[in-house]
Amino acid sequence: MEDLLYQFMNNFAFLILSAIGLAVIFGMMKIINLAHGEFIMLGAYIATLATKAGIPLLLSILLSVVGVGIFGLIVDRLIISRLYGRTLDSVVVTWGVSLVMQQGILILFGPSLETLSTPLGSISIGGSDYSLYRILLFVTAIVLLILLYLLFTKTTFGLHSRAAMQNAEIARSMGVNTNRIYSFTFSIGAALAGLTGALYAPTMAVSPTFGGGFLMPSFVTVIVGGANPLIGPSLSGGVLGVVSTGLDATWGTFFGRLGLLVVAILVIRIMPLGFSGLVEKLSVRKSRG
Amino acid sequence: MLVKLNTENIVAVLIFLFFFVYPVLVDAYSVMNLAYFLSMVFLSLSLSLIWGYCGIFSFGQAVFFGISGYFYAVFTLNSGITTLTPLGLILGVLIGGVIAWILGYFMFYGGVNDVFVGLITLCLTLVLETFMGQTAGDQWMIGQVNLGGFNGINSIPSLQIGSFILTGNSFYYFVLLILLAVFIFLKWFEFSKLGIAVVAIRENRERTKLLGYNVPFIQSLVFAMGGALASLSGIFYVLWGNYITPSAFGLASATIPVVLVAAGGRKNVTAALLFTVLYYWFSQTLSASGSEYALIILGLVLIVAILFVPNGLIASLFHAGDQLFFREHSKSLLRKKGAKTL
Amino acid sequence: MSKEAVLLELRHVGKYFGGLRAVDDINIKVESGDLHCLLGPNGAGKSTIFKMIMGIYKPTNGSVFFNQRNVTHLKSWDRVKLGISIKMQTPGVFGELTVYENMKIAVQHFTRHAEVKSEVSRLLELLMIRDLKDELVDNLSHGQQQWLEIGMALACKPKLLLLDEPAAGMGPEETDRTAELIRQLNQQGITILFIDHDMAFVKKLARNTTVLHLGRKFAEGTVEEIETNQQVVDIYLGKS
Repeated sequence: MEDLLYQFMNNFAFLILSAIGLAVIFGMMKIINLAHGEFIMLGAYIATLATKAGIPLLLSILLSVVGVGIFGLIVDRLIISRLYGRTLDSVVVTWGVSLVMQQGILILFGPSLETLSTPLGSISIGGSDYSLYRILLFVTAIVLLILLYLLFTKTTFGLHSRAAMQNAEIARSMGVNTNRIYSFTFSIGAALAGLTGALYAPTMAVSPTFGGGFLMPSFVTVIVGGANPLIGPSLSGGVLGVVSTGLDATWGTFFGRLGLLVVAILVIRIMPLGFSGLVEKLSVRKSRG
Repeated sequence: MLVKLNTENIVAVLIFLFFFVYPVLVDAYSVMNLAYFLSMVFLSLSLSLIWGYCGIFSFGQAVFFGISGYFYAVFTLNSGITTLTPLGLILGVLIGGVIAWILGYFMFYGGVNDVFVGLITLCLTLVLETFMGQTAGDQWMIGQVNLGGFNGINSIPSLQIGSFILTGNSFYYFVLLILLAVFIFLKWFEFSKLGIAVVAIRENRERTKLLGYNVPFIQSLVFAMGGALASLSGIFYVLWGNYITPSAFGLASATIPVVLVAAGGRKNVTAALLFTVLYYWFSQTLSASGSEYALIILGLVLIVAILFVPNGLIASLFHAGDQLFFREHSKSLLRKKGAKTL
Repeated sequence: MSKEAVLLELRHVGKYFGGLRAVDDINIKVESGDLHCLLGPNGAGKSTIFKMIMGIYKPTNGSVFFNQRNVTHLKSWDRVKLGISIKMQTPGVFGELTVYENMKIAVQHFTRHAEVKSEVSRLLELLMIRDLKDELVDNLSHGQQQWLEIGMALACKPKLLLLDEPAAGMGPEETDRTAELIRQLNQQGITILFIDHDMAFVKKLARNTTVLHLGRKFAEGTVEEIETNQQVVDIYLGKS
């Protein structure tokens, strides 16, 4: 039982952390960032290189967040800002960005970096060892969701960005600078991807294709979650976490992944707006009787 | 059919003439290279059809490409009878079409559209890559063929018609003739009754329903046709190299057709054809020259193309040519590319 | 009134968006050959009713009958084939195609191949936009786009034609021509149900009227009866 719980925490954290940056950008801006994996990869590189240079891991992680956030802001100003509202073009362009980033990193740093060792060691419960670091990742995922919730509900930025998300035109007419909101949102999405990369850097091999492993789980989580960048990933991370943990334990990793996809297709078939759509429907019904 | 004189059609005729005389001009190695490029053109055309014509955005063309490639391999290696290879080709294309139909049925009748089709098909591609990658063990035998995990399947037989084995130039001309047939079909289809309905769906799905068209049915049908074309591409790829690996399903093969069609001009099959061939030629030349900057240049070209020439590089050149040489000013979507007026 | 004469019937139809009752418990009968108006101020639920007749929205409750047949669960395109056609409030034309191409899209589905061309010409003539046939639809005036859309609806050979504000945004002259066109179509045997909130236009045209207010049926009757109904006058003057 502890094993399964631990696996669930692991999967949940992985899904949430993979998806959160993508979800924020897609949910708020309707931009599909195919370079999401490369943003994560960039985060992993910054963290790994900084740590090797003698900076403490925690500070390195922070450096990744800031660094990738700034990088995201530059990408937005140069490229993405010209494509607001053009979802499909954004796919092509961000794929171009991912090509440049992946190959650029390969040229600069070669095919792989020396991996950091996973910090914090492990604890033993009931005869099994559990990595403390991975448990910490789970806690981080939860804290991150709470922080984002606060950002989007309690701040002026959150208010404006939600207005822009629901109806950009009306938001503009009320004096909201939607372009600035979008730029900031993209930058936050990038920073979150950087955080994810930095957090997972000590747990797997860091190479230019580091982001590839995050791509499918992140897309599935966003699809199943729907448009709302908070409710969506939280719910779908939970559900998908249970599904993949169950399938992993019974039939192995591949079926865990296949299960994710099947759930994604079923969810889209039954409720095209994902969990966000469902929650919205229920809450409207409740509030208006 | 009355073919209209415009830049696109002249270029199309010249391209095909060039393709036909190409083997006379160059060595066997270059011919096989072009055969590979042409095989990949089918993949781009399949996307032109479903995305450019019908507005269905898909990353799933690699799914049909890969499945049919694997099917052909398993079928021909198991049968062991080389004269049955054409049957493998035909069945492979049909299976690709049927799978696309089923997938399309689930999506379009379920009201899944636009970007969600792209996301679902992307995930499907990635899952299939993962699946094929872990099929190295002995339990993954289909008949006498091991799926082979990351190494894929090798020594897949070439196409044999009667006692004649298609390799080298004969394979090249086989691919070229089928490409020409598909190309003419697509040009005709655009202005056929169904083709016009398809354009209407692309322009305004809801409105087209209100004109009495069964939109999900037509979408599924076009998606199936696209699946069959992608399958043809996959099987030609297998015939060209006699091998297939899970990278046929990879992220790169899922996204490259999208990028090629978008950058070339998605509503224009000649543009898709030309840009695909140029891309493969360019990337091969660059990687042969050992330049590690090839992918970076490619990425930058894409970004610049989408930002500054959103209608596609080649398609915009065609348009400029029309204005310059033929004083063609009609802006109608159907006319602009027009082989004839409706 | 014989039972067969009812072409369209809504029975206890309602549409709720979340808790908002856009349309609530509506009963309407439209007789074959009628020229019937749905009248009501903004937000009365008129367009929502049209969308339910067309199958764009599914009613939350109640049923829609067409020609004695329950069509509540039919898809839009199947309803079109049964003989219901619509011109929506917001123009639903293909802006980047020409007038001729727009018409062809609509006509080819219901006309044999050899007759498509002549049928398009006939409809363009009827709609007074024949000279514009090679014009890009985006370049047409609002009024011309409305006519084109009526033409596309007619191409589906409807028994019942739904027109959502057929004269919206038109000048007085265009409005008159639109009214004349509608009357002419009705005389040819097409049953017409239209939405408007301009009393003068309705008076000129409609035979029967159903008045809606806040999603509910408020009154019904001939135009004369409605005109003299004090409550109706009140909601129009905003006293309700």
